[in-house]
Amino acid sequence: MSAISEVVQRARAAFNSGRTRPLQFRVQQLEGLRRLIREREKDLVGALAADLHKNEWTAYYEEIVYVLEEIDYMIRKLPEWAADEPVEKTPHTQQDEAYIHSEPLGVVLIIGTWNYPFNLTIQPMVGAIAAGNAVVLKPSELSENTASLLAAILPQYLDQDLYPVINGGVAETTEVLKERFDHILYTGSTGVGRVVMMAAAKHLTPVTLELGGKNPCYVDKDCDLDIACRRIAWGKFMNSGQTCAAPDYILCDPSIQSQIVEKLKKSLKEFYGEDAKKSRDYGRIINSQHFQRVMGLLEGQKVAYGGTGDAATRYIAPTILTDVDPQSPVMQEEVFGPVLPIVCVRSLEEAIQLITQREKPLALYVFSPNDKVIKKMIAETSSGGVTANDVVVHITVHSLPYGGVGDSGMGSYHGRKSFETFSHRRSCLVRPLLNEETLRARYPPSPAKMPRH
Amino acid sequence: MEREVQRVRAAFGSGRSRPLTFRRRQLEALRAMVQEREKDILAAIGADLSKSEFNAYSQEVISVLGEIDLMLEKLPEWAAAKPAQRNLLTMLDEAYIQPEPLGVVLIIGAWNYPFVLTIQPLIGAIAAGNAVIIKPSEVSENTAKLLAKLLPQYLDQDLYAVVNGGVEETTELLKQRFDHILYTGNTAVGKIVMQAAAKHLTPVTLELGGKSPCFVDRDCDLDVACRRIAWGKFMNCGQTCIAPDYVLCEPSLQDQIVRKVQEAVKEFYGENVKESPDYERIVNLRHFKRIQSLLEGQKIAFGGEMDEATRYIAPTVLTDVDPDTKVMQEEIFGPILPIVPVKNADEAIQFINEREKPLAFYVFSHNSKLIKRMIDGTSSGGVTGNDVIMHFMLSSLPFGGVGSSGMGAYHGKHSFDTFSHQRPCLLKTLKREGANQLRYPPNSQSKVDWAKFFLLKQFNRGKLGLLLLTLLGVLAAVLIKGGYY
Repeated sequence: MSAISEVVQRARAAFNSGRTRPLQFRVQQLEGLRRLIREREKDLVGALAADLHKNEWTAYYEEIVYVLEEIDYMIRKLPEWAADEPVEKTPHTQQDEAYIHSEPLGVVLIIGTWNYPFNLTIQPMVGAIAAGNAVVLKPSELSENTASLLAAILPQYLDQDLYPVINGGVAETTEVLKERFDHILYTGSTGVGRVVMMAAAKHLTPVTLELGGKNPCYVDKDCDLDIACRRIAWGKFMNSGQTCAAPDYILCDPSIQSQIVEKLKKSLKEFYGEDAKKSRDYGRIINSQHFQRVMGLLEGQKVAYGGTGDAATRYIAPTILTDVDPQSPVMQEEVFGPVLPIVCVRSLEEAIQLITQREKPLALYVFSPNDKVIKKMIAETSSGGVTANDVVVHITVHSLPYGGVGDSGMGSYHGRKSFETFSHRRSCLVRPLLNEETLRARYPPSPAKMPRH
Repeated sequence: MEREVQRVRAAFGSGRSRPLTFRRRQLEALRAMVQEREKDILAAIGADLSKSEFNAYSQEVISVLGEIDLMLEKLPEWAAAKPAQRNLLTMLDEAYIQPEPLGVVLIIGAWNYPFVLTIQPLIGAIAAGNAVIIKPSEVSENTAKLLAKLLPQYLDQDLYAVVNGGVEETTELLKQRFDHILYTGNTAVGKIVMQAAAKHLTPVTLELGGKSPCFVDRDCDLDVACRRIAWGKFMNCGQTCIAPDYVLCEPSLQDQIVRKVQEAVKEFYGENVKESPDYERIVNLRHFKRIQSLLEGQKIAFGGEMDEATRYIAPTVLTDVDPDTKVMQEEIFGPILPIVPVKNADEAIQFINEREKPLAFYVFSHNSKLIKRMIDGTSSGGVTGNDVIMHFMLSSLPFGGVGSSGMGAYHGKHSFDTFSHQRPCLLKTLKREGANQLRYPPNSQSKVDWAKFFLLKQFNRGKLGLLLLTLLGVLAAVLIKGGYY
């Protein structure tokens, strides 16, 4: 048996021991996780800085704080969520107990990703632990410092058999995917999402796939462009554009294009100064392969701002493209970099048409003071989620499940949805052994003639 | 096949399934179909499974009508946007979850309850605003042909299409792209369906099977228990995904259980079971032979009679069954009830946990603590305590499997939710930009400290408290920007 097999078997045996069932145990583990974050914050920030040029503020505000929130929320709500949930009964079942009983699934695999390597591995883990599962973590090898750190410190704070970390590249991930799990949550690309689901199908393992797409951002003529552009710039260029929920491209009327460019520039200078390369808060591209990929998207485009890059430090300047052709390469794949194409459309209808001709994105953004415009955009498109008049923030609200639809993913998590995703909600109907008379009608022999009804 | 799916997709693209009035009319038409063509429907089911009109009505048609009525009643409530709880930073915004149709749904039906297992999912898919392609099982060919004939007479012909055929046609169909696939059938084909779905990243609901165990405790009313078990086991000649597959009990109870089950069988089907109009037949020769082979080497307490010509297998009970024999290795799906003796409830729990998670779990006992302990100690799709089958009948309970017995669930609201995309929406205004100042670069230690203060605050001080906190946040932002911190 391979080393990976052994690790998974050990996690399964640990799950079968039953020690994750009591809520007390799960809360203890979550508290351990919280202690890890508080005590090792410096190490975490160090790893994130090495992987993605994050600093103590961006690391905290963009990744760590949401995990802490999730842990606090989960600990507080666990007794309520883990309790049996009574359901509505019918006249026939009045004497019975009818409820949904939440139970752990077993061994959950969480495959993390590299852009928010801490948050996107640990936040799902919080839900999986709370639901009473054993959890195997496979952090992304691209964010290698965070991956190594997690492997080193998690065993110091959590049960070592129940929550192992497996590191490695494509070969190791392929091997992990051959094992049998009771749920797999994968965050990453659509292409690999298919591979994960295919592997899961062999064991009939349910999956949650958090994938990507091109998140459109429609800007209405009538809106306050100063504020809109500041918010868009914030969400687009955080982590150097490497955010699944980032606004991928802008759709707007040609008459406001140059204003948008000016105001975006203004915000960018406020955020990162004249030369973003010198800003502590501006991220770097994860590796050379992605650096080349993003720089390649600029070919043949009208660069209104930025457009420069430095391969040695994997720095790409905040870049804005104008009059972008919807057929060009930058509009054919998720940008996942600090390049913001602006595509001109002459009306809301044209914008909606452009959006619906493409795959359903993870997020959709619409800026307008007019509620009717917003509601029409929502009603006539589909996407994982929506924020109107801002970007990204819908994914930070506990009560709004975070997930995609179509090519952008399936299933969702965050808050209570995490707990449910990693649980089996088992229907239970418990009847008394009495009242046999009332059941007589259901037993054969049936009446000689079909009764009139 | 591709053209058929394109046609249905284009119909969905037209947008006409979005208004609730349209969906309601389709459901009402479906109800009219069931009511007006009842005789044809009962006859088709009867031909496929040798089922009496009464049984076909009470086992299938009644559930369909109930589901349509429920869906019609609840549609406005379920389709409405559901407000979501907000946090400090979104307190003054609109936050809600909006259900929307997925697009084109594929429903692959099964042959054992060929009408309800195809139509009940259809009801949910229509209610959720989707276009639907229905692929009935070819094994129940009369019902399959009837559905292909009737549905276009009552429902929108472009939005809801029936595709019939065997393995070849189903394979072709599975190459097409859908927005959700619901499959009812066996575990092996379930894997094939999920693999096909993976190519298009199509979410799936798989209603599969397994060996649903039935534990009978010493402390229980055996007369009642055995009657209920016999009812659920032998209905549809054992061809029910949630039939109690086998019984677990202490050795001392075995003989009593055999006797009482035999008595119940006599009550239900008379002395000559073969002549009872209420006793069905095995669906085809292949399954007949399969079930026949399960009896090899077993101790038959009663039953065991077979007639290949009519595919009749008598209600049969086996005793002292060895867990390693064939009858305990696969889902029986026939009128054979093995009894496996176990020492006690703990041994029963262990036995069950050594096997794949079943679709249903049954336990009979007066002792409610024991029932809870057995539920806690095992896993299964669903549970009925002190009866069998019935958790399927309560639509507020999601119906589905876990592990090898399936994934996802449906019935009632769970159908509606399964066939919808629940889309979270956060609507902010372009005002109150002050509150956002903390989030913009350039950073500073004070920003981190303020963020730690605000983001981790417990938000249960009521609206006024939240407002105060927001104002404090704006103040903090102003002060930071003004260089005071």
